[in-house]
Amino acid sequence: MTSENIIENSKYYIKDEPYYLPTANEVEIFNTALAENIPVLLKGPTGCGKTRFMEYMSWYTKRPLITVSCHDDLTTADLVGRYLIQNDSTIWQDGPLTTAVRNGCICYLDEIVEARKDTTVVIHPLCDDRRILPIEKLGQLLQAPPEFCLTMSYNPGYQSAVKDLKPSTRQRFISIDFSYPSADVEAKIVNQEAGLELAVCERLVKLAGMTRNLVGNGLDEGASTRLLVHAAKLINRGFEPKMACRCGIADVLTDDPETVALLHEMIETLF
Amino acid sequence: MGLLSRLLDKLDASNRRNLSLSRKGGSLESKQTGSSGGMSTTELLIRLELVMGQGSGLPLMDYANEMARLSHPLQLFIFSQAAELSDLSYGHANEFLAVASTALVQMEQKQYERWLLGIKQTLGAGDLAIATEQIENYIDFTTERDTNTAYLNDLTYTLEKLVFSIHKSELPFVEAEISVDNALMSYTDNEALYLPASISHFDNYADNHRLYKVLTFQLLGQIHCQSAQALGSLNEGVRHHGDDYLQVFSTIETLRIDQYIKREFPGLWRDTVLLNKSAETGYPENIFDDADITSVQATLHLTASLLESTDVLPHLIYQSTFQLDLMAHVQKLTVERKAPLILNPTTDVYEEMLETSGDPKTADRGYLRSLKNSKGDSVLKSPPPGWIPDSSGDVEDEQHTTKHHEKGVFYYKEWDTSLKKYRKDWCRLKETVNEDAVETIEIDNSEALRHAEHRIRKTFDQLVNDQKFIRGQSDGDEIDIDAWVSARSSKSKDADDYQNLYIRNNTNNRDVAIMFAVDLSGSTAGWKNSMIKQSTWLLCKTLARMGDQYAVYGFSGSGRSNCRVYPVKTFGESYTKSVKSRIFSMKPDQYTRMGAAIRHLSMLLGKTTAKTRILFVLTDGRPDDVDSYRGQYGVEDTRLALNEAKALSLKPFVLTFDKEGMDYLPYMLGSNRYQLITDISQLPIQISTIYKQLTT
Repeated sequence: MTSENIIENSKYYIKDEPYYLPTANEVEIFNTALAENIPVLLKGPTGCGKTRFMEYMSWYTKRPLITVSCHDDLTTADLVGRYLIQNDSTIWQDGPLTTAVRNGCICYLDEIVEARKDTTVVIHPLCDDRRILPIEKLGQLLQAPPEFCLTMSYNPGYQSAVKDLKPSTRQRFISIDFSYPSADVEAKIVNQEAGLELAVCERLVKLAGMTRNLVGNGLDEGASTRLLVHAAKLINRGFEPKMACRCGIADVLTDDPETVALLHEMIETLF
Repeated sequence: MGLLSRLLDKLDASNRRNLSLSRKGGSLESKQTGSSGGMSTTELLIRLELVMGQGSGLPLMDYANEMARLSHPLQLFIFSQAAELSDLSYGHANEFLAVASTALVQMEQKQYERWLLGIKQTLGAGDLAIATEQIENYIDFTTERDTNTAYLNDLTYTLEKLVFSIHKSELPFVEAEISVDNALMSYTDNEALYLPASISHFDNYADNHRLYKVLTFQLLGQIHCQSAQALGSLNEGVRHHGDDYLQVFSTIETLRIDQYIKREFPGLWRDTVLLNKSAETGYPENIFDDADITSVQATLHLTASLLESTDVLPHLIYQSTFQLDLMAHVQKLTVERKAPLILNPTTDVYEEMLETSGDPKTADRGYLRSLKNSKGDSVLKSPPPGWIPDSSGDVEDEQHTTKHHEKGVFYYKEWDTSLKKYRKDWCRLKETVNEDAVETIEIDNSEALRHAEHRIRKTFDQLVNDQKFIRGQSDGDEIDIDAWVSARSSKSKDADDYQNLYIRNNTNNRDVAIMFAVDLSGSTAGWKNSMIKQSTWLLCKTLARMGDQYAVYGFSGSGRSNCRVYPVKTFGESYTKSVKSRIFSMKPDQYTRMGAAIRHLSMLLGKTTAKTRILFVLTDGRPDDVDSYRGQYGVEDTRLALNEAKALSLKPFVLTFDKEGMDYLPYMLGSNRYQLITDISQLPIQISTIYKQLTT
């Protein structure tokens, strides 16, 4: 390992405790997975706290966190590394996954199903008992240290038939389900995040629950906790609650005029 | 709403606000006509071409001349409405433009709002001819309906969905019977909400509309606060004290539910307060001060104590009535529905309900509700999601032990939920090519279709243009820097490394096969069938450009020995005239034995080699056939057939028109594998949108 490969750890450490309210035993499960070197799959709808959980666990375990937001043009080279040209010669640049393996970080692949299919194959040997990362271009097999942990997030709510994890990938992980927290926990989260009085947060959560009941019946996905926090922040800044809910929740969820009108009606009944 | 509509809306929002404010007093013909600062004919023509398309062959100049008489806000209003209507039906937008200038100056704001809402709703329901009538007979809207009256029909969609979002299951809205003294009647039997057909109690629309909302939530409150538990005591009370008892109970229970509304829906409580103010009702704030109001028992207790002093009680405008007979009937059904389920898990709930109620629809609803309540647990002994039973113990049917080796005939097993076993070779399915090819295909409403086709093409173009790059190619559009760097850094210095230094755009890296299974049961007759045909035709026509493998099969039948699938387009075929002819010869047949059809089409789809294989079922209702293939039996067999498809690595997806689909589809398919389409006229566009969602 050359000195260039050592990251400046402070860059990837989460220094301040992120606000995270555990809803079940996810913290214990994650800690056990870390201890047993088992990779973790976080499943749940958008905006329910998966990324926040990772930040919290990074802070909690005092391990650096490297997050990769996956997209449909993400290649293996983007994860593992590539040669770059410098002064008429080439130098090797580690990708985020290699960096994480070399430095014993937590590597968090956000929305893994968005990545190209071939990229998931490269993580297979990392996710079983071998825990190795083959770097073909360097001819190296990188052994992951015990501190390294691979975590992926995945939203099973997509209707797309092609955005699905292969069983061979799935079966290398333990899974933590992140459905929306219970109403009282969610209200506390919104209250903490936005600093808005709890009673109003409870009404926001009620509104979210109503939108979630409409999934598949006009809405693709219900309002996430993140959206509630947005609306709560608007209210906290002095916006009228109805206006804040329209801008922060209703108009974000859909463009269909009938459904928007229905969401506005819901807001009217609650605020 | 289309992009154009939104753009126009945005631009014109302030103008329309002005228009709305200025028109509240009534018709403003004098202010709208003449030179009131409206757009010139040329500008109008340009805008009309923007909305309706250039070279459309429509008399746009005539429309422009008519509109030139109007004020600027009214002109803008017409544009925005025409754009919205053209999203629904291009032809009707044209019809609207032909009369809009004349019609709008004769109407008041409420009247034209209702006129346009009516047209849009009718188009949404797919009744094109009625929509045309509504546009032409605009004069009816200037006289017939009172603009201050709120109508249940206009509000049902929003209120039903609003209730669904809280109650988590559908509570249908039904017109309540009119009382003898013509008073407002609203009541519930816990299975539906009964509301007046119209409300004109107040002299303004806002309050009448508000009253509908409050009545709805009162009834919902009765269900959530379990008012029906008092049924026995109510019957007793009425027997002893007459109808006064019911009247007092109704008032006190309404006050109790008010507390629930105040707590749970503060926005609606504000509406309730406003209503009481408008109705000048003195609200008894402290009536529950000394009582425990958490249960209906508290109401009964107070009813007994206040029976002699009814003068302290107000009559609230939104107070509901209690139909004891109706409540008793539904309660009896519910009790009968639940009891045998627990005692005897193998009892067919559907049969029980059918016997009790005599109505297949009620029986079906009862079964589906029990499915939902039990969530597939041991009460019904239903298999868990994704479970496929071992077929080793299949039941052999004596009549079907001998197979006939007929051409195009297949035998499929069927799941008997009462036996918890497959019936082997139970369904005889025949592939029948429809020979009644249509000679001349008349495509109705070609303008609307052209619009839909344009939208579908746009959706698919986005897919096609979603190009991917293949690196390391011997030729291509761009230089692959990575390949060059790799070649430079390669120790072997192999000349071959320098051969593949280009990036090529890969326009066809999709590997998708999709089977469209179209329900051709008798219930799809009429408008639905015509929309299904048009949608299938547009889809096939435009899918060719995608390069995806696709097949279209219709399915129907009558009884287990007469299941039929109709190949419309097979995987091996390309889109030809004869395919088009077969599409337009699809006609409503008989019943929907879904399990056998799904098994057959899954088998065909399973033979393709594509990476992503989607079984797309388009249906208008739940599984149903002449024999016992309905209710629990049909749902369970279809669920198993879909599980079998999943086991073949196929991705099933169901698009349904059935409003009650949400009662059973989550159970049959699991989440995210179904969608309800409420507006059938949007079917072509909806299919393409879902197709895009499914395959990207």
